[in-house]
Amino acid sequence: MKCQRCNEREANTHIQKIVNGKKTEYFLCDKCAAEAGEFKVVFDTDFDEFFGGFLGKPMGLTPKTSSAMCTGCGMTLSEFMKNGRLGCSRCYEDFKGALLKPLRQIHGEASHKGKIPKRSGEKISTQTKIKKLQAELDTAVLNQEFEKAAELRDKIKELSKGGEK
Amino acid sequence: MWYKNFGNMGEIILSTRARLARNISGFPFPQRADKATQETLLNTLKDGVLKIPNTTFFDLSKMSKTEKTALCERHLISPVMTDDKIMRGLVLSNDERLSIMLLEEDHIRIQAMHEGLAISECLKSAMEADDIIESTLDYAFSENLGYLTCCPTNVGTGLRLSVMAHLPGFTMSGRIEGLARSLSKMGIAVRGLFGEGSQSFGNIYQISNQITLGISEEESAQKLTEIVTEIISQEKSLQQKIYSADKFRIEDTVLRAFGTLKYSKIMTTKEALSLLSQVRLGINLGIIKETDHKKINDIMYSIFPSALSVAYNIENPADRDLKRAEVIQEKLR
Repeated sequence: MKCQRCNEREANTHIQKIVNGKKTEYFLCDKCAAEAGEFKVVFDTDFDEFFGGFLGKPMGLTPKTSSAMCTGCGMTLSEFMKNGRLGCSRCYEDFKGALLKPLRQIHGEASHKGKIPKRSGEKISTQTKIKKLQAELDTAVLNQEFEKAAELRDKIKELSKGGEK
Repeated sequence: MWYKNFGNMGEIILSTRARLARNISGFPFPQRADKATQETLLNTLKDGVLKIPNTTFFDLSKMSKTEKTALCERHLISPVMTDDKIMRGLVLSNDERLSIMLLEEDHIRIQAMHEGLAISECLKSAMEADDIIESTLDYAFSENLGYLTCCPTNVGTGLRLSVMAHLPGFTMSGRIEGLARSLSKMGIAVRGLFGEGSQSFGNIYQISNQITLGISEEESAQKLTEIVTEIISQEKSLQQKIYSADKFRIEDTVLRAFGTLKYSKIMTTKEALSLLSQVRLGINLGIIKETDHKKINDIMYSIFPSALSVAYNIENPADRDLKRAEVIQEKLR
């Protein structure tokens, strides 16, 4: 489909404007879309908006669940849906069900693979530690750091043994 | 200061930053905390963070809006830190390579910065600062979700790695939107000069990772390094292509830009950034030999509105535009 403005380039931007309930649609190319000036070209999905407001519903945050309240800070799920920010770390626990799906949509895989704090992370299970070491091992192999990889592999073995006992 | 230096791949990459978002357990996130809690938090955090050697604490509520904006122009704090809705603090290392924001959106935001392309260096120094802070403060951390952050888009590693890239080749050839679109599919965002929601000036873009969960810090760093390296090589070849396609026009454009910078009397920030971008391109293509990137970096960070206001005590925008032209001329002489 050709751009509706220049009739030259291929249209690859779809714009919908809704004014007083009346919907207008445009199909423009990158260049005309940028020049049209009626709107800002947004480079990527705005992740804040992704969470707050309009995507709340399609992502499974229905009004039924939105009266839920965090026991830590008193924030309600509907407040979170509005601005996309949580009130305290407890919110993650109390809104767990509602958060899992959108988290997966943003990050793909909803489980931590990175750094673990030394002190507050003492209680972290062996399995998480293994997962983390496995990720490091993969990176080491990719970088052809075989000595480091061997060390990591031994650590993983040791940890898995300990877990079986 | 470091941000004026010319680093690795400095002809395309101006600077690199690693940012870690951290919160301590048992307290609400800053915007949910009342004034008294904010004060307690600020004092607690300050004590922990100041354990990092060679750092100084600044109470942002005691600074003027202009002073705070000047810090923001140097990327030492984020734009949100310049408001006075929340009591905010900053711990800054003496060389300004490490900046730790207190009570931003999260309790703690560690930023490590470096000139040029230096992703693993920045990650390393942010992680070291994190270790020191963690030795006395208890982080909010969950086994499955990692570091718990105010915005769920940061949960997991809390790590945002970004480079500031000067991409006139992509911009002039109309490929920047396409680049941004394909990068976003890979979990990489392209934004304007001052990050989220900001506009791009002078063909400078911030390129950063978006995924923080299910990926380790090292993997993030490696992925971004690979992508940025590819962008650099494409940008370099685009610059050459543009030049060979219309040699005299490009020479005319960059030399006019250089002339305007050297001889004008009134200069807005926007115009200056756009002209400086042309001059950078001219340096890369060997058209301009009388100046270098280091000098251009120095000019760029000297001419932002609040930087000028603070340095010369000028508040009026019209006077500032006069001063800006003068400063540029002096530095190019």
